[in-house]
Amino acid sequence: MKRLASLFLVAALAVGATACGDDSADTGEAAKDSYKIGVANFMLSGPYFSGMDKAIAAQAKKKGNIEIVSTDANGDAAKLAANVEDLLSKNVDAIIISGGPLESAPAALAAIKAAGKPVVLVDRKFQTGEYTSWIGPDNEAIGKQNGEFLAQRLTSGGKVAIIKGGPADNSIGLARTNGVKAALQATANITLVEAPDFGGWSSDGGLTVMESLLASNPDLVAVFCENDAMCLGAQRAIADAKKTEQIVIAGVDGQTEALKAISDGTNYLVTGLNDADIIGAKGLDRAVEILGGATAEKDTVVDSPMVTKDNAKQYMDKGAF
Amino acid sequence: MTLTKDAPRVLAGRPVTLAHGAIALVVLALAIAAVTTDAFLTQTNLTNLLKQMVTTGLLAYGMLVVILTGGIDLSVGSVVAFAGILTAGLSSGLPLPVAMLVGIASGVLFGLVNGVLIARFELAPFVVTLAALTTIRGLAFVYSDVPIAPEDESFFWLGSAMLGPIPLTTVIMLAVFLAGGVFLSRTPAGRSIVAIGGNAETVRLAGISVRKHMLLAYTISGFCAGLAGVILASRVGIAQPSVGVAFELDAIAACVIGGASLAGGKGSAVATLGGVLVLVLINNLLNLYNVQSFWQQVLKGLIIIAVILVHRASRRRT
Repeated sequence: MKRLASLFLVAALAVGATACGDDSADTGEAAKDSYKIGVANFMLSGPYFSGMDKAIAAQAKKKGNIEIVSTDANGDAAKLAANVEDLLSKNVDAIIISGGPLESAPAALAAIKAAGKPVVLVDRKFQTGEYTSWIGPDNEAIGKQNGEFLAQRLTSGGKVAIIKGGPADNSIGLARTNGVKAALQATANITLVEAPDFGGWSSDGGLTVMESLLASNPDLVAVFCENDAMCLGAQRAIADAKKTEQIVIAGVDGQTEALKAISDGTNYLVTGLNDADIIGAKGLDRAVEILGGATAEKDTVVDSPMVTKDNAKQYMDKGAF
Repeated sequence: MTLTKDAPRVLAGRPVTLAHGAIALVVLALAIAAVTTDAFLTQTNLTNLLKQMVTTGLLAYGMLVVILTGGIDLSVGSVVAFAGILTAGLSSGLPLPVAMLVGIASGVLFGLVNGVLIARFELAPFVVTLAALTTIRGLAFVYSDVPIAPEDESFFWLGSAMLGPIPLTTVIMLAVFLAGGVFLSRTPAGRSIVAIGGNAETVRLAGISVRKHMLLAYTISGFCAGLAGVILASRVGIAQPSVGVAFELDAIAACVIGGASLAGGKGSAVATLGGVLVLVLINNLLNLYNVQSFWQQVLKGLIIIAVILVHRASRRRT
């Protein structure tokens, strides 16, 4: 164990040292016009995150003379740390971290810091301040927005179910659920039912959890899911149980299929749009600004507009992820 | 498949008591469920149980066949994802039944490749199917890195059709188990598969091709996984390339709860179906009792260990 730890330390030092060396060689050309930017994705397997990766690459292409090196950690924080170290050894000018809980891998953060490279976070914010800039949504606000919509809609009250995604993305989900709860707990005669099991952020997970919920709570009037993928599965379960007239649905993200369901006037009523295109593009812009020597804002919240039947078309045409 | 009084003491290469054990477990779980929670014996919940058995059930039968040979198939979860997303993708251009058949066929093909590598090149099943797990998962993402939601309502039909109170998909799964049970215990090919797991050398000496039957076993597992993928995509209405992670674990657990031996040669279709039921019941009950998800994982693991210990004890007694 000790040996492993020291090995790791040596490796981290080595990475830091080489990066430092290259850095000193670079001094003098303060603002280059071509950059190599590394993108460390936590998990490309969700449409939101793969959309983010594509948006960053598209924005880089639009700007020209920016080379993007993209990596995927498959949802594994340790792999993410290793990927960051790989990117540093490829001598990138800046790193964009998408959706990753890298604060659980302090060695990687230390390596970035030692290398003196700027790091821009998109989507997920770290609890520690060890980053240059962050651009992402306010997840609690999205939840609150949904909760207020439901409170207004459910005039005669009733049982509202909450489907959570689970540990893979817990801080984000928690913020969303807390937002919904904050808005609905204040509302008279609404009872909240939290599904005991996680929906795993996927449609099949949402389907199964909804089926179980319907068995123990046949009198639900609404369901909130921490993301759209789970809501889409829940919508099928509700349709199979022939309760489409009884239960309305609220999600988060703005996944294409959810926007379509909302626009079609189904029982899917509302979602909060987390626009990966906008966040990704802004993230790249931010990295380039910082490389050009500008002092950038530390934290930037990107609005997550509420999408209902009235405005769903407009966001669909824009071709969100 | 019926266990009459004068049934042979050994059915499909394992003691009859295993099937009895599995049935007793299911009955016990059902009794506890019915007595302790009102929500259990509702039609909604029973239909849920039947629906939620299907994926694990299909995968478990395929896994059983492979386990009987002494092998393992870790790639089934990835095959579920690939078959589902391929079917959903093709359904926009091809007639739905054709798209579904192609989806299932992709599973058969993957199984065949696994089988060739394991039987012909004598590579370890664990390694081959572990490599297949990541390769096929990657291919699913290559095919489409975003979920595909077919517009055509008929895509949902297979997943939501009901035959009276029983979901069509459950009937399909039961048919697989029925045919599969007969295959394993009554046909020469099925019996050879069981025998290979017992002692491959003896089978070889008896003049039966071990390779051919190993190949067949992995192909059957691939077929089951392909079918499960197509059914799951239709049930959810959206095919996701990320679906099915760790599905192989539930399938293996179902076989083991049903008394199958990972060393091969021991296990039956009926007992495995019992294992699937136990597994689905555990999930269902923990949900009805409102047990929080992390504790569900803990309890599920402990229950599986307890069941295996009981199996072990009863096997010693006989």
